[in-house]
Amino acid sequence: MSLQVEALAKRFGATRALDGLELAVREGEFLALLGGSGSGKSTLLRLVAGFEAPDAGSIRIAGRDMAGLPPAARPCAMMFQSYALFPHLSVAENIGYGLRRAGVFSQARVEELLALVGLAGFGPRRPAQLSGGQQQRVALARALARKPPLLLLDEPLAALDAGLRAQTGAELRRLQRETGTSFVMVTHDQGEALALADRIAVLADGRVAQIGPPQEVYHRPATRFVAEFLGAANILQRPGATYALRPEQLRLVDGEGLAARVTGIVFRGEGWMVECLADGGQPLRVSLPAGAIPPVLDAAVMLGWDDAALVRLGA
Amino acid sequence: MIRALASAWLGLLVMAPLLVVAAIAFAVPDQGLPPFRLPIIEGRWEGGNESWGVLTADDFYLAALLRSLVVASATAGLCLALAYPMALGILRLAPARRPLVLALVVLPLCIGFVLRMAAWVGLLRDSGLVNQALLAMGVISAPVPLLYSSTGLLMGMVHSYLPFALLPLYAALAARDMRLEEAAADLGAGPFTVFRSITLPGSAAAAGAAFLLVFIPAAGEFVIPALLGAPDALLAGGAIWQEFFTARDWPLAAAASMALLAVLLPPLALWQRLGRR
Amino acid sequence: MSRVVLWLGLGFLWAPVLLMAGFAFSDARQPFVWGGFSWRWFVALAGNARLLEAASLSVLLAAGAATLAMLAGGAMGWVLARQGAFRGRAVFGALAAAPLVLPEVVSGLALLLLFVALERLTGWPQGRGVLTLLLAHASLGAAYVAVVVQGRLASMGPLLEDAAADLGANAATVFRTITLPLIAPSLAAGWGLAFFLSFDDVVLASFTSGPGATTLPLLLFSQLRMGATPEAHALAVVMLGLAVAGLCLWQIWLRSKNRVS
Repeated sequence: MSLQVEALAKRFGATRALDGLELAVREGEFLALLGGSGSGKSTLLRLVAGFEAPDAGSIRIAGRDMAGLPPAARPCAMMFQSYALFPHLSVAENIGYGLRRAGVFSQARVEELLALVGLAGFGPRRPAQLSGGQQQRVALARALARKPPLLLLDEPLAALDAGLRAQTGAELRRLQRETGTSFVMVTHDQGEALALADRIAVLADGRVAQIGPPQEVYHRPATRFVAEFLGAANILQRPGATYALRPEQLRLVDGEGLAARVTGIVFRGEGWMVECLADGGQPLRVSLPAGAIPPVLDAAVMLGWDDAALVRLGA
Repeated sequence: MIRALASAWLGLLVMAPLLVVAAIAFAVPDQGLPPFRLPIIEGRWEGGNESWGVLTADDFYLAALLRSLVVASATAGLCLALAYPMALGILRLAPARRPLVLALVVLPLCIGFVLRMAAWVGLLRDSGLVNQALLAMGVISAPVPLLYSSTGLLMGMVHSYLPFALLPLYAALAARDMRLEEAAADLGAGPFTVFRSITLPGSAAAAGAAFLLVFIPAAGEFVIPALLGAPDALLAGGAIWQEFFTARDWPLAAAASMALLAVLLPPLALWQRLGRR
Repeated sequence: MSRVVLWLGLGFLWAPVLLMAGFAFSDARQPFVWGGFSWRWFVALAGNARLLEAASLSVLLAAGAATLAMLAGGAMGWVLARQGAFRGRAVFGALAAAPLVLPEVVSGLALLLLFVALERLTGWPQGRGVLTLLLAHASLGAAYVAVVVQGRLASMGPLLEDAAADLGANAATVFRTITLPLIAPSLAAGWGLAFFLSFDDVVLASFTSGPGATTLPLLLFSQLRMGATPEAHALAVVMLGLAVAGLCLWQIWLRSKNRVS
């Protein structure tokens, strides 16, 4: 295991940021920690990196217990959300900072890292002279310099323009594969998590609500929270059980179905999202392909689905 | 380690002096050097309240204190009335020109406090340039006594303290969120309404802090009143100075200092609160 | 409106200063009287041994006090910005800010009474002189340095220092390689402020100085109570020239620094 977290707890005043969290990250794995604000995902990263001490529980990196170790003594490296590049040092000095501290500085290694992130020749510049995307890559090279077994990434794409995000995400994925480093990436963006990660851990109230490969977490949500947080599923209450139903699994049908009225229509580029209110008072979202002709507002429609698409939810 | 060193510095050079003043305020005046007997001799309390008695019995000290507060209020008020529009004026300039104008605000300080005050003495005396100019223009027929009057005193006080009100006010106004004013204008407010409803309330705390930043030290000012003020209208700072250097009554000077501090404590606390926002 | 007040205010600040400087070139024996152009008061100033001696003492004293203030105030600012909520932080913060607002007469009296009490108890410091003056000025300057440094550290946030620690730097290395270079401009600004406060101080010096330690402001204060002398006019020109030159050098240094980076 690259990272093993057991029964981790941390409170700030009256709020429980982490509440008995368990997590295991495999070697060479890209894990996304997905959660809303206040879910404890950033706290987890700061505890693993050693900036805060846990109230209870243990953290092991590559099998070693981290209790009491300062950040400098931990084998993991962190890439900060706003990059935290040292403004008074050049790009090369930023990348070489960790190498110097470990006494393994070499100009060749710095050049190698610059080339790895596609910034060969940028060494003498200052961080302020780079674009946001370039700064992001310097931060990545700096964190990877000492070949840490585990890299913690705090919202690595959040500060980038939407257009740059997909491309940079793919670049992250490539670097993770090439270096074989375990990545633990904190994000609030489900698209990012689904696209990049080997596994996704959804955090809620200081615990892991569900962990698994993206397809599994998306299609078989374990709890109502996961179902609503990922892909905004419809929640159906049936006697004795609660089910999730993805908007894309619902269809407008001509014959038998659930009678409903259209209350809203939103065009989203890749398709339409039609908001309906079923006769029993149940709100339902239906997603239609972009080529479809959507119903008009207030129209009476019939909704249908395969019962196989219903996912039974835990508590 | 660093905190221990810094604490030791503050303990020795800030806290200890104030404690010593408080102790000596209760000492008994005596001949010799230093001219007092410590309030504690061989573990026994030998202090007296004589200094406090003198302070409270005589209207002289109360009058000096009140005059100080009036002068300090007038100085701080005038400084604020000048500094606020000046700060706004600097911010209306092109950003590239602002550092130059700020330098122009600070540079007059550089010739030194004493020289500036000496300049005022030379300008304000009966035969000084100001009276000569007014006479030449026919505004007055005989020299107006400006020096050693409250006019001269306020001129010198405002001249000295204006930059100290202007710089923090400028910083606060420069840091304000301009979008609020744009939003107000967009919602139909005219320039004056924008100023009255957005700019002024938004900078009230900074203006209050700037007022107090002038008021508090001005209330204890000694040198400017001594050079420019009326000699018979003694202020608090002058009273302390006189007891110490002329009357050599150190306990009384210490007691007067503590009294001045006590009066300034509420504005000090208010300044701290305004500064934290 | 605000622009009119701005220029009026600047005029008010500059009028006495410019008049003071202008009449330095007058041949007249009285201040503020024009008696034809002359350099004679500058020559007289250059030959005034007492004044030059006081000025050189003031420069040395201000440099020493500013250096001491930079060290002590830097430490105070760092403690306030980086040590979190330790016990006694409120008292520490109040004491650090106190010299900023205490009336100078009270500070001066308090420091003198402390020095006298200390001498009685321990025999140190012996009498009043340069040493007591140095400590008094440093204690005032340190408060200003602390404010500047604390502000800089607070606006910088702990992120960069966290990042350095994460990259394997211990506390001392973080301070040397990250914190210190980043607060260096604030320390320099604080040093300048402390230098100026010491160089311009009359009140603290009146209390804590002794015989043989007459600073330039003390000398001028004793000589100029009745108003300026022609030599004082000349001195004003010199001071103004030095300040303008310093400002220009600083500007040039800033420009060249911006071009390099």
